[in-house]
Amino acid sequence: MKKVLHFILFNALLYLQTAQGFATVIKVFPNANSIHKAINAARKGDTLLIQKGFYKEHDITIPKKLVLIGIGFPVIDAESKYQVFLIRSDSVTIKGLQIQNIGKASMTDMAGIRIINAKNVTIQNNRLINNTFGIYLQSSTLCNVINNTIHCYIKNELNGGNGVHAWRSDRLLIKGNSIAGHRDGIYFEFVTDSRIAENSSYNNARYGLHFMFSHNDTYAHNTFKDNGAGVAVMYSKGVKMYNNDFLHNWGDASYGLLLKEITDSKIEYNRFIKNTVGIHMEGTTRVNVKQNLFQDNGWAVRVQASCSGSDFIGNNFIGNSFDVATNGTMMLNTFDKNYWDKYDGYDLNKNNTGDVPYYPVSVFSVVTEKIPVAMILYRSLLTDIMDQVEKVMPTIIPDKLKDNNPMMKKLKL
Amino acid sequence: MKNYILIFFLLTTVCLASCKRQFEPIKYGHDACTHCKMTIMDKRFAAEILTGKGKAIKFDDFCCLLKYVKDEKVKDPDAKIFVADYDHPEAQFLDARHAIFLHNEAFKSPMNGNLAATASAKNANKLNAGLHSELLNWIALNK
Repeated sequence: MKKVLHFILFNALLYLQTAQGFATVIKVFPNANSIHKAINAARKGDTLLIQKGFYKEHDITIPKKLVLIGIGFPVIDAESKYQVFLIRSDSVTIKGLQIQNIGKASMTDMAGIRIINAKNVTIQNNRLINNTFGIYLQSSTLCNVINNTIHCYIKNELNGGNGVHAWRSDRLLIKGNSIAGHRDGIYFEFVTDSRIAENSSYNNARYGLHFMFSHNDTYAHNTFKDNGAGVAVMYSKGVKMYNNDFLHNWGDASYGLLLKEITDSKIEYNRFIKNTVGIHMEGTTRVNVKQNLFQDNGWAVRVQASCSGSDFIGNNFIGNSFDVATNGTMMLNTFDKNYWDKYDGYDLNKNNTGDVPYYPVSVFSVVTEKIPVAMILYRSLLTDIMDQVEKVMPTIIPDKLKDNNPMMKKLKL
Repeated sequence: MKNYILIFFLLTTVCLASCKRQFEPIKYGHDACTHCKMTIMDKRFAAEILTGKGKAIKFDDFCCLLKYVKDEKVKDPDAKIFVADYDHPEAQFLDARHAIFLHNEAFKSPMNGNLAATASAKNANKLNAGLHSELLNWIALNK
């Protein structure tokens, strides 16, 4: 008897739950304004299956909790004049759509998908092609942007927008996206406690990743390649960067990683390969640079005199034209236990660390820091003479900037 | 004889190029801001200082220029200060000492300075419709 009663009660509960929000699945076919109509007709919690086809629709506001799933990548085209999705409700999901040809306007930033004041929104497996802004998050919390392809093939687009643009948001997850051809690949302004992982950002006009005033964010396993000016990190604290690749950011105002006014941050296990400047630091405080690889860069690290309390420990410096450059004589940062391929000291006690310190700032890097055009004399007889004289009688190079325990062998990272 | 003419031409062009103190056009997407090191991209907010000696110092946002003037204590009376016209970003830059500025978050400038420069109070008021910002000038901005 008790069992039967339980059964009835359980069923009644189930029935009550479903009766409240009967989640139905609605199929949408390409017709005039069919997505608009379907969204208006749908109830909270419904799923819209958008069938394969070509939809010419724009300014689609989603005011309630809905799931939009594209079947076979339906195309939504904004005719280079309009924007497409405006999400104004919590818990919306958009999957498997192709959104293309977003327009441009001077006062509004037009985006393929714009999330406004919403929570728990998921944007997954979409293609955003030739848009001004790809995905634009404003004042949003706990949103996921996963495995999207955000590409713009319009060349020389100076006034283009950013691939993923987030503003005044927190706890975001940007993961596994491929972003190319935008102004900045990923742009964060006033975004906190977020995670950017496993993205690939390349061929963007300005920065692969750019963030300002964004505290306590983590960046891991991303690749930033061939961007106009590399990656810029500014005016933030608590930045954690692990296992990223900064590759081939080449040009006279390009940096693998540009740090300006950064406090209490960690840069570990990254690879900086073939950049004009691996890391450029200005006005930083307590930034740990550990276990990174600097290979084939013009300058591996450029530390301005305004930086303090940073540790460079256990990094590999291989094949860089200049290892370290600085613009002052004061050095409030430590270099210790790094491997420098230019080190020509000896290790008599066989403890794998060199017995004499290594001075990573070369005379010529001091000269070019003051007179940039002197670079024309690089690798000339004159600079070789200067190097030799400096070795015998050190006068120019900052003597406080040295590695007391240079490693004899390349570190395994 | 031919050689003399050629040399003369070369010399004059070299002289002209080196002597004239004039506005240096900004290469967007290439030149970097002197203050914040960011690449200059947005034509609506770019600015430039031309020093008395003719050196061009370029900025991506007018707030960078203001900070630079303050930090480096630029007091050169011969220095010319140029700022892009928000209404006509492709046209000639304005003289910042005579431009009228508007400050509003809606502009979203590269470094959050959010200052838009216009040629006259009339243009500024047109832009100000719906924004309700205060009109500012060079003196007010340097206070």
